[in-house]
Amino acid sequence: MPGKKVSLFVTCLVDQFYPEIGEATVKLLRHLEFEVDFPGEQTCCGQVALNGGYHSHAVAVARRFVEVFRDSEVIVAPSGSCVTTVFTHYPELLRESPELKDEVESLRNRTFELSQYLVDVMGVENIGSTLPQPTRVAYHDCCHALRDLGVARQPRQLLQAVDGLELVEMTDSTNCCGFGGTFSVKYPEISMAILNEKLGHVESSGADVLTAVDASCLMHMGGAMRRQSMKARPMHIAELLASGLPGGMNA
Amino acid sequence: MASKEAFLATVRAALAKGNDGAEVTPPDASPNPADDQDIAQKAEALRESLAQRRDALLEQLHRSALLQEWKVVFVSSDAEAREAIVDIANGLAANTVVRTSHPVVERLGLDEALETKSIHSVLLGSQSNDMQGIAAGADIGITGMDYLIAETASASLVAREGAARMTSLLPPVHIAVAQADQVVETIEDLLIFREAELAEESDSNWYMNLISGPSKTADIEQTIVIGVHGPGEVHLVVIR
Amino acid sequence: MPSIRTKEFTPRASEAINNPTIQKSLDRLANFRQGRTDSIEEFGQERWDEHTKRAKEIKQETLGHLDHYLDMLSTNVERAGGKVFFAHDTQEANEYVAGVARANSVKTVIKSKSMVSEEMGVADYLEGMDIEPVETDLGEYIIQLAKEAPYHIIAPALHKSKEEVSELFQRVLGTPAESDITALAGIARKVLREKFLQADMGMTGANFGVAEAGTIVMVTNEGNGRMSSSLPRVHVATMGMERVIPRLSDLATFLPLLTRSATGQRITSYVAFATGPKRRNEEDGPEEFHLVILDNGRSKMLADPQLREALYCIRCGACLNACPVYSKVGGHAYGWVYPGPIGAVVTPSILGIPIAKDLPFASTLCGACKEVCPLDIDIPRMLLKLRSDATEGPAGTRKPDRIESMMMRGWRMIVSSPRMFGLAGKVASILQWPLSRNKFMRRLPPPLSGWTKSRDFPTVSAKPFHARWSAMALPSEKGDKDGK
Repeated sequence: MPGKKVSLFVTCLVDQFYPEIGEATVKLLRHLEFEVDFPGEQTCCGQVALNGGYHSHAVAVARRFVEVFRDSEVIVAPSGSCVTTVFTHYPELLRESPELKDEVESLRNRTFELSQYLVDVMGVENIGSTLPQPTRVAYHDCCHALRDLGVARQPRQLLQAVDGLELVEMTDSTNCCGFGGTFSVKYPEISMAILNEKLGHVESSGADVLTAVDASCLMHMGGAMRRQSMKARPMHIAELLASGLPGGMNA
Repeated sequence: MASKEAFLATVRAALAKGNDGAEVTPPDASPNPADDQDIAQKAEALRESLAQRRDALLEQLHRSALLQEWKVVFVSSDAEAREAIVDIANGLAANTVVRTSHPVVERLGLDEALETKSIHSVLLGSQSNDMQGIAAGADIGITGMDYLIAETASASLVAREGAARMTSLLPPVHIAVAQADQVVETIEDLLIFREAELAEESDSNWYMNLISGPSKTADIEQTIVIGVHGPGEVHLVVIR
Repeated sequence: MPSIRTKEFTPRASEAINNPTIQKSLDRLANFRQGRTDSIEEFGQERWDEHTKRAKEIKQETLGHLDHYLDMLSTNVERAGGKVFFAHDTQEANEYVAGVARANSVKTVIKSKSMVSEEMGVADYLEGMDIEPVETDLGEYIIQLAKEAPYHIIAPALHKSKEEVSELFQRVLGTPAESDITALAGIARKVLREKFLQADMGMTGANFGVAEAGTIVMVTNEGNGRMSSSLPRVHVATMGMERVIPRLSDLATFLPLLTRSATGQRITSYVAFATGPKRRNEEDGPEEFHLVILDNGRSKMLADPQLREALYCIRCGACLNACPVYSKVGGHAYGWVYPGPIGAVVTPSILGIPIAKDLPFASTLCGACKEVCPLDIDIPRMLLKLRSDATEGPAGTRKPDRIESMMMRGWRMIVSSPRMFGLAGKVASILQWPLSRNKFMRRLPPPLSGWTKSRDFPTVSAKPFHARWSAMALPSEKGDKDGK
């Protein structure tokens, strides 16, 4: 893909909490010979406002997003839920701005989750990554990526092709992890009940690493894994794939 | 009636609002069976098609019936049917059976045959004051059935006369008798025949049962228990 | 109306989560899920997709002309010799049923399962008239004795262990202890059979009301639906107004969707079609047939283009079985007649958001419900709409959280520019310092304390991605403002 340009939508969570995931994403894309640009005006897609029912806030933030990414031919994000906000929800969210209708339609069709873009759009089957040591990896299917974007086969494809990576299928990988955004804080007991079942499956899979396409779900799962001193550690798929590239994790 | 008009007016107002003020036009086609001139032809064509597929359908029926816990016996004559039924009753050490006068049962001469085994056979009907008691106290209920659905192993019966409902419901065992040439493939087929019949019938009230196996429940710990309120043992006798 | 306990969502959810018997019962939902999956595989995915597509079309057609089809249904029921009562609300419905019972000197009513009759609370209403209503569906019978609400749309007593059922029967019926499930069912069978044979009136639900034929359809496994619609002199069927479908042939579309989604069955043991009272020449069967059609807030949903879709529901319960939240909190937490994802939409729509505010928010929006729904009902979208109504809806609908609203206004400011965003990050970076160890925080003040009770929370990065970009950008990637 020499010369192919993509714009990085890094997402607010990765920007502030997990900039390494952003770096890994850039490293991965450059390794595949993409030119990456980063529209510096970006902040957030508005998902938290949408999910909280703060419709008018979500509309304002969405309008801004459309503007920020207006000139980007292709937008790639290391997140399924943020891309879902654009892909699934922006048309409804911005329906009262009919002047933006065509633009929103165009926007949603050129915004992709990372693995979705690489596999489905660019036909990548193997990114050419070799892990420093053999690692058993379990993949958790994040809900929005899975059900809204149809992302399931693509991350597994990329993971399986990594040298030294043994992909294990854990039980009920498509079950929700219990994050659900503010749900995790508003209904923490229910959130943890759902999560503990998931963590049981992580444990019995024998995986060294738990990976997924969304940093938000990994923050929730990882936060409990750390608290419970579990053997497995969480790693975003971009980080995991990039760790096997020349130069390791350093850009 | 006041409540109906007010109710429908509320619905209409809701539709007008929900359609964003757009006019609510009546639907394109009226689904009234009386309007369907073609139903008789449709039924005829279906009958022909089913006749050609009969053997395969009976095989499918047999397979699904076993999966759905019917006990099934295929016979080639009325005499064999009678024998099979008497065997079942005898095997269950039945004392009393109740039956309907459905044509496929009526012609079998069951009463006499059962009497020879000291099994009392009663055509349930108005000659008895305590129909419910007799049916509830009987060991077996025998009914003729109208159609058989191969895909779902269902036997259908429109209650036309006598006490078909009780006969097939109250005793702990039900023997359903049907003719092989009444087999259809799907419930869709059955409903085509029902619609064709409705176009001809003078009574607009009717009650039909589709019976597809024994009564069951899984309401306690999702554990299946057979024979809750309806018959726990069901036999299908198919006469070719 | 049955009691409304929607405000107790969180404590009742907690009760369920901390009850091992309930959790064990809820684990069994896996059987329903597997049954559905296996059943659809047998049916054929393509054929299934055709059916769901056609079913949705039929619902759109029907609900788009609901007055026309209800009129047709009622005309045809009357033509068949039945009576129809259109009830605006549950009070009207109960009064009508009471009137029928009085007119027929009814002492005992046998009831087969009907969610609408639960909505009416008709059993309690009849008891107040010294009439004995007897639930005959085994699960409904159990919860009637226990004086509880149904736990699941298909399996009302899902939450009860066999030990609890045995204790219940011992206490209420005086029967000996029983550890065998078949024997427990046998106890109920015996008691209920007596009631079947003496009842004066039978009440049933209606899974479907076929407009062109004036027929109500009852989809059951036990046989109590047949009993209730055949043995007593009077048959009263209760139906939500949205359950009407145009043609008999439409049943071929809906029946497999219902049975396979609900219990993984090709078809239930019984499907009964009742059109008016018994025929002239029938010796058994009801002499009177009444159909009560209930609105009770459904017209409100019909009027809202965003909520109308919830009326497509055929009450299969598949969404409950798929829901990660329901699988942990069970049916009683939802506080009213309809639990699970569909309940989370219907309850606030009918009762109003202010008293049922938890329901639209107690969801992770995972979408599993929509995925399994045979009518492809977009429950997550409707939950978002209800959340929006709760926050910014008209007076009477909204119930905003003042503190949260304030925080969202702050958030809006923060994300309005990368400068504000970066500044907020810097501030957080400083504030978090006393709380962090090794880039994580183990204790945070509310509202984040809910998180840190059982999860570590990451610190914001000292150098967010925005700040790292200029060092990362390759010359070819630098924008115009960096010059070329």
